[in-house]
Amino acid sequence: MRPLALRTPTPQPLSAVTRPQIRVESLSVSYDGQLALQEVSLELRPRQITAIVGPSGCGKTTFLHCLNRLTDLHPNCEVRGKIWIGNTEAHASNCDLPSLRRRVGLIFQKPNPFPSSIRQNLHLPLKEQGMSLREEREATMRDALQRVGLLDEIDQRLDHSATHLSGGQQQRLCIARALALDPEVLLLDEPCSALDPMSSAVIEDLLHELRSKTTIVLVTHNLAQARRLADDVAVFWKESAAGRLVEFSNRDEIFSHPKHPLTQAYIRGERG
Amino acid sequence: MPEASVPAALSRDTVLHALSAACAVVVVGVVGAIVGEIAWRGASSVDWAFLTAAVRDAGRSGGIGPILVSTSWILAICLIVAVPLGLATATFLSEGERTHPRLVAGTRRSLDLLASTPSIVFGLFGNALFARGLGLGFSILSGALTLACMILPIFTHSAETALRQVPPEVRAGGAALGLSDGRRWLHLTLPIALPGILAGLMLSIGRALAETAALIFTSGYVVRLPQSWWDSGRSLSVHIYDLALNVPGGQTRAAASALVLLSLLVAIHAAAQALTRRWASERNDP
Ligand SMILES: Nc1ncnc2c1ncn2[C@@H]1O[C@H](COP(=O)(O)OP(=O)(O)OP(=O)(O)O)[C@@H](O)[C@H]1O
Ligand SMILES: [Mg+2]
Repeated sequence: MRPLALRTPTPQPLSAVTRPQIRVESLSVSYDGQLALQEVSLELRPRQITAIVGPSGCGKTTFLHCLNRLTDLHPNCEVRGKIWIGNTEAHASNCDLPSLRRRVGLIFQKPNPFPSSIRQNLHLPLKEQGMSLREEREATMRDALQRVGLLDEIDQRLDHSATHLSGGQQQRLCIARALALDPEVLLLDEPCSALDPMSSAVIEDLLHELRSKTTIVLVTHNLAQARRLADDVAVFWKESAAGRLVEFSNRDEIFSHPKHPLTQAYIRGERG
Repeated sequence: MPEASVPAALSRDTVLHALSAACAVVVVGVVGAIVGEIAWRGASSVDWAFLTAAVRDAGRSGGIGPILVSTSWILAICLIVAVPLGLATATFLSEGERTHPRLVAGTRRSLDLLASTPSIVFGLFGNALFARGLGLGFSILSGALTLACMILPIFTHSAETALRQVPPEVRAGGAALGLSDGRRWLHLTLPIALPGILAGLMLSIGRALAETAALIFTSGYVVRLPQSWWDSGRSLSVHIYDLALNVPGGQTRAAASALVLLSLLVAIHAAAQALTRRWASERNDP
C-alpha cells in the first residue's frame, strides 16, 4: 500500500527502501495550449538510476523540468497533475522553490558553468543556501570536486575561469556544483551528449558511484548507456503530437522482454 | 572558370579594403582636425589658475572654477537619478517581455519617443515642470533632473542590450541551483552585462556633458560658485556656448574651456575602459 506509506509523516528506515522517492500522478504539460506531455504517471525508486529514453521531442526534458519546477521559467508552460518528491508536493503553490531545487539537482545537456571562477561557481549556490562560513564552503567545495574526480586536475586553477575548462571537466564541475548542495535527487538531461567517449565514461563511472546515495534520473539518447547504467527504464513516445509514457519497467524487462510494440521497435533499432 | 575569377575577386577585395581604409583615415582626420584646432587655440590659456579661478569679465579673464563645480554637481545628481532608474527599467525590459508584454511595449515606445525629442524641448519641459511646477527654480537640481530625463533613454537602451547578452542557460543554471531572482541578477546577470552597461554610462555622460539647450532654462547661467543644489549654476557647455556667441573676444577662452571638456571626456572614457579591463581580468585569469 504505497500511498499509505507515503503519507506517514516520519520516515521509517526499513520501509523507506520501498517508498518511492518520486511519485508522478497524471502529469500533463502544455506549451501555449499545445500538449507536450500527456497523462504521465510513474513512481521512481530511491537510490536507483532510472533512465528515460525516447525519440526527440517526446517530452523528456519537459518531464525533468517538471520535477524541480524549472518549468516555471517558461510563462507559456502549463503543468497539470501532481508530483511528490519525498513528502513534498512539488507543484503546490506553497512549495518553497529554492529549497526544492536544492533537493532536486538538474544537470543540463550542454555544460553551463557560470562565466566566473571555478571557486565562485561552487561558492555562490552554497552562500545562497545559507552557508555563511567561508571555510565551510571551501571544505564543501573541495569535497564535491573530489567526488567528481576534478580536485586533483584543477586544484591549482580554482580561481581561473570555469569556461576555460574542457567540456568534460565543465560537465563534472556542473555535477559537483549540484552535489555540493547535497541533493536527494539528481536529474541529468543527456549529460554526455556533448562529450567525447572518454569524458562520457568518466561521468558514467561517477553516476554509478553516486547511485548508493542519490536517486538519479537520466535522460539519454544512448540505449547502450541506459543498458549499462539503469536499474529502471521509462520509454517515452510522441503520439499524436503529445509525449506519453509507453512502458516503464526494470532494465532487464525492457531490454529482454519489451511489451509495447513501440518499445520493441525502439530496442530492435538499437540492435539492428 | 574558378582560376580566372580568383584574381578578379582579389582585386575587388583590394579595392574594397583600400576604400574602407580611406574612410577610416578620413574619420581619424576629422577627429584630429577638431582636437587640433581646439588645442591650438585654447591650450595656451589652460593652466591651474584657469581651472580654479572665478569667472571674471563675463569669462574674458579669470577661470572656470565655479563652472567646473556646477558641472560636477549637475552630472552627479543626474547620474544618481538616471542610473538606478535606467538599470531597473532595462532589467524590466529584458526580463518582463513574457510576463508583461504590453507594459514592456509601452515602456519601449515611451523611451523611443524621449530619445527622439530635441533637447530644447527638454529644456522647456524641465523649466515648466521642475523649475516652475515643482518650485525648484533655476537650480542645479532642476538642471540635473532635466538631464536625467534626457539621458534615460540612451542609458536604458544600452543597459538593456547588455543585459540581453546574458545567455539563457546561465539563468536556468542559476535557478536550478536554487538561486533567487535577486541573487541571480546581482551575481550572474550584472557581472556579465557590466562592461556593456559601463559603455552605455560613458555615452550618457558624454551626452550630459555636451548638453546646452536643456540646461539654459533649468540650471541657468549664473557664474557664481553654487552653495547648494538649490542655487543656479552654469555648466561647462553653457559657458562655452555663451563665450563663443555672446561675448566679443571670448573665442580663446571658449576654446580653452572646450579643451577642458574634451580632456574630461577622454579621461572618463579611459578610466571606464581600464576599470572594465581590470575587472574582466580579475574575474577570469588572475
Ligand atoms: N519553451 C518551449 N516553448 C514551446 N514549446 C516547447 C518548449 N520547450 C519544449 N517545447 C515543445 O515540447 C515538446 C517536448 O520537448 P522536449 O524538449 O521536452 O523534448 P525532448 O524529449 O527533450 O527532445 P530532445 O530529445 O530533442 O531533447 C516539443 O514538441 C517541443 O517543441
Ligand atoms: Mg531534451
